[in-house]
Amino acid sequence: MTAIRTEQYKAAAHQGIADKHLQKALSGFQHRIAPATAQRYLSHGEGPQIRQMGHAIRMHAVEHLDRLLAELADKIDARGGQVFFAEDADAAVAYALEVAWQNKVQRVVKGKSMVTEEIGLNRAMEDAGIEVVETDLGEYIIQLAGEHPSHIIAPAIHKTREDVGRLFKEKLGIPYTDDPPTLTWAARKALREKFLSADMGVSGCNLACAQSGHITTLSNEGNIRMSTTLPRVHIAFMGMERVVDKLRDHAVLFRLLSNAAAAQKMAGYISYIGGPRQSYQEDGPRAFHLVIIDNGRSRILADPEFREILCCIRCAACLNVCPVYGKIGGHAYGFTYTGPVGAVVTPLLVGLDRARHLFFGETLCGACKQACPVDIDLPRMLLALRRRWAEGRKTDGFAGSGSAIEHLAFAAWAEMVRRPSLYRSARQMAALSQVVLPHSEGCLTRLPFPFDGWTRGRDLAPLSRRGFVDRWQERVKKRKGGS
Amino acid sequence: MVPSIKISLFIQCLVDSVYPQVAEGMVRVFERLGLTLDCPAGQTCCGQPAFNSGYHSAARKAARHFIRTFEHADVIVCPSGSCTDMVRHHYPGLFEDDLQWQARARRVGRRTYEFSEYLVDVLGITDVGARYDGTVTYHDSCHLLRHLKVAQQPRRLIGHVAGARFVEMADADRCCGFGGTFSVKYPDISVGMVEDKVAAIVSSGADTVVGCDMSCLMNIQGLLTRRRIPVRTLHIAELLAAR
Amino acid sequence: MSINRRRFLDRVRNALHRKTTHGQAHIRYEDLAAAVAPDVSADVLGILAASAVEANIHMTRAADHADAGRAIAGIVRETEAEWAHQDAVISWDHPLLERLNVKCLVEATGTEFIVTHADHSGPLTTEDRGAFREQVMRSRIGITSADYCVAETATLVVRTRPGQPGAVNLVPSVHVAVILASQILPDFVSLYALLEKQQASDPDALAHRMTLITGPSKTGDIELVMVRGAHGPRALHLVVIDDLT
Repeated sequence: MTAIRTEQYKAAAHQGIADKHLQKALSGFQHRIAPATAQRYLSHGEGPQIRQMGHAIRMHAVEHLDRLLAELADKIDARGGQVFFAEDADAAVAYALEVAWQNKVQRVVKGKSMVTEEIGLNRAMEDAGIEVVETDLGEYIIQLAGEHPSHIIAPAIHKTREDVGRLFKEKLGIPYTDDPPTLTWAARKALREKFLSADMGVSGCNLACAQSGHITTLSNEGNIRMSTTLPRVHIAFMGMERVVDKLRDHAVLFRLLSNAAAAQKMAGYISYIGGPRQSYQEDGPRAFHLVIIDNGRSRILADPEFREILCCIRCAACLNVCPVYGKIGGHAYGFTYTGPVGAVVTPLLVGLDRARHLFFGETLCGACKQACPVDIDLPRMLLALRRRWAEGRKTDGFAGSGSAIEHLAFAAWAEMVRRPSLYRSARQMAALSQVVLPHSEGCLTRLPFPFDGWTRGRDLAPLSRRGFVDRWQERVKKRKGGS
Repeated sequence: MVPSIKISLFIQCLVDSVYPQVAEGMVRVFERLGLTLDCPAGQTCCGQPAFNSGYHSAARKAARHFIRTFEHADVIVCPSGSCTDMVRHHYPGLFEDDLQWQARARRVGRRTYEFSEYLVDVLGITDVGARYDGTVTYHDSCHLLRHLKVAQQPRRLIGHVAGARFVEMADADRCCGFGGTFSVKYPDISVGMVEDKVAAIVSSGADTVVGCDMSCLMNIQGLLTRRRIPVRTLHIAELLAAR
Repeated sequence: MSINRRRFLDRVRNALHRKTTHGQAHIRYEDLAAAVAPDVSADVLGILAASAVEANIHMTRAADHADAGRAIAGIVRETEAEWAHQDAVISWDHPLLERLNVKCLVEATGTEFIVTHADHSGPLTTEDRGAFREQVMRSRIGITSADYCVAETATLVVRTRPGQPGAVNLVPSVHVAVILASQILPDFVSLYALLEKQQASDPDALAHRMTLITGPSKTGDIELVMVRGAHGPRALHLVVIDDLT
């Protein structure tokens, strides 16, 4: 597994907020792409219900996963491909290293793949002495810089053109320039050599098709096609849920995915790959391996409240509208999956306790559900995670340790809320005692722990002397008395 | 068309304790329309704070108390989108294991409305005869907008306020960063978000920002006051009560 | 079946024993409308032309095969080499392309014109493949046809067949695709209805490899500035021979 840094959410968020360039980049990105995506969703002949159609397609596939994976594997087998079912990250990585060793692989070219990040593939290969070259331009930049991606689709969104100029000067030896086309073509040239000399290509899989027995890969750059056409071995990695039943499902999902990921009508390249090259083919890999990965997904599948998250097609539309992601950036999430989808799936993969900031550290505003091309109810699952953390020890499955103090506090609060006279007295006491707190121009300027977070950056209106309900009661009494 | 039924006021705990003038405004608007009002004395809190933090058992206790307090009402109107959403959409789920309470919860939920929603969608009124001198912009609260799907109703009401000039701010529908306990537990992020919201308000040229949820407005007002920015925050009930 | 596979799928099957009410779709999968028959009256050429502009594809309408051949020769003349030693042009061995007479036109300008081979006496050898790679790297333009073109998005549907390798529309700097207007389908839904029908009668209908190409290679990974020519061809020319009118 890749490194998990979810505990550092607050500190990393703080860094992200202080990074002026990141703020500008995220704001510009979100403001450009989110409205464009929303427009694209409305442009289909199916009408706005196309997102619910996408949901039906994905949920159907998730709920028939055993049959679909068997069909997919059988068909790829029949074409001479090799399918490996990997229970966890270690098994997947071990298989990949075995394939690399058997094929005397020294250099690997890679398309962008979140699941390979999740399992920590690059590091394992490098430790085994294999050169791994990321070929998606954003991932290539990140790799040269020794960083982690901050967005699923645009991994280098946090880098300025000047950053890239300096990086390429240092790592590629080209004269400094901050012109994006020039920098892009420098990478084009550098990577072309890698494609042509690599021994093995690694890709992910966007949405396999059980009916036809293919994996599919999408890109705009053409890097995945290059990585899976030129080297003599191709190994593809797939989260087990990334499959559809019928070809017609692609007609809906590829349009939605293109809309969502890059506000496009259609992605530049979609490749269907069903096996190694045939004897008549001039190009293509002589060996094709597909690694289907569980790594905790079957546990998610088994949980009725969280099964829905497996519908995700990893488009990043939720990242593009999330006001929290837009403020803190991807690194704060401390794991492969960022943004709203990360806030749900990461705790389910790494544990609710260590990832609790991800599902508590957002506002449940609901923009993500609105933006999701397959209408996944992310807010529902975020609330469900909060309950599992707070009260989960009673249930089986995913749970957190909760907080005994907070539990006690809310239990006391509940007792008070059920007893109106007690509630009113408590309110009255609070209203009287607030005078000891620092004030300025009628507002509270400093609250005691644990509420001091509010007043660090804001003032707070004080409790009023008499609550409205009390005032109303008095008014009613007066009127009764008067008549 | 003014109904002969009685409107039971569901005063949000925040409004009750901190912003009673908002409830006063709501009362004035309804009384001017000739409506009969009631304000159940036993009401306290709908339970949303506990629910959002994952404490369903505590939230259930609050919900039962709410249901008992309000279930005999004809109509329940609340000056908060998030509380209305709690009652309407989340109460039934709290009683999945108790069908009787679930049925009671559903009945109450069906009769619960947010204030602007009630005026426009139920009473069919967009002009309450209000008058306000100023440039007004509107902040869409998340629950009201995305769960209750209320967006054009407050705008239409504002549009009919004599003397008020309405300007739409950029990103009116972007979350202000309140999020309940989030505002206290993740203050950096919360303040970062409300800074963006305030910047949008200021850019709009408005001198007044109106909303339908005091939780959001309390958050926005908190930054305006701290930074001494001369923009007034008003709940829509206060605006509509103005003469 | 391997133990891995059995254990893996058992775990999935067991997980699915629990039914859920959460996250169910509002539409049943079974009720999703089967693809409607394509609207044959639609002006597919006109729609395609508009989509091509949006997708940054240079589209040329040719009245006939000769016209198409001349258009391609023109593209060859205008296209400079991007890399050193990119002197040639490579084309698929394809019946449609053969009729265009491009080979003569191009060779007349002094440019080498390579055609891939469809028939081989046996399976390809390492030498064959090495020679092909060398040819494709030497070519600044790759000329192919396609199986279909989807007007809605200007998407070319290309299946790998003998003599029709994918590298020809990938490795050279420029891709030229030639189709007949009668190959144009109106939209994605009709394309997939057709593919599913073919798949039903022939499990290998999609071949080992099928690629959908929509425009030239591009990226916006540096500050969202769109740049054409990331790793695939930096320009895509589409020549459509109008056999409809």
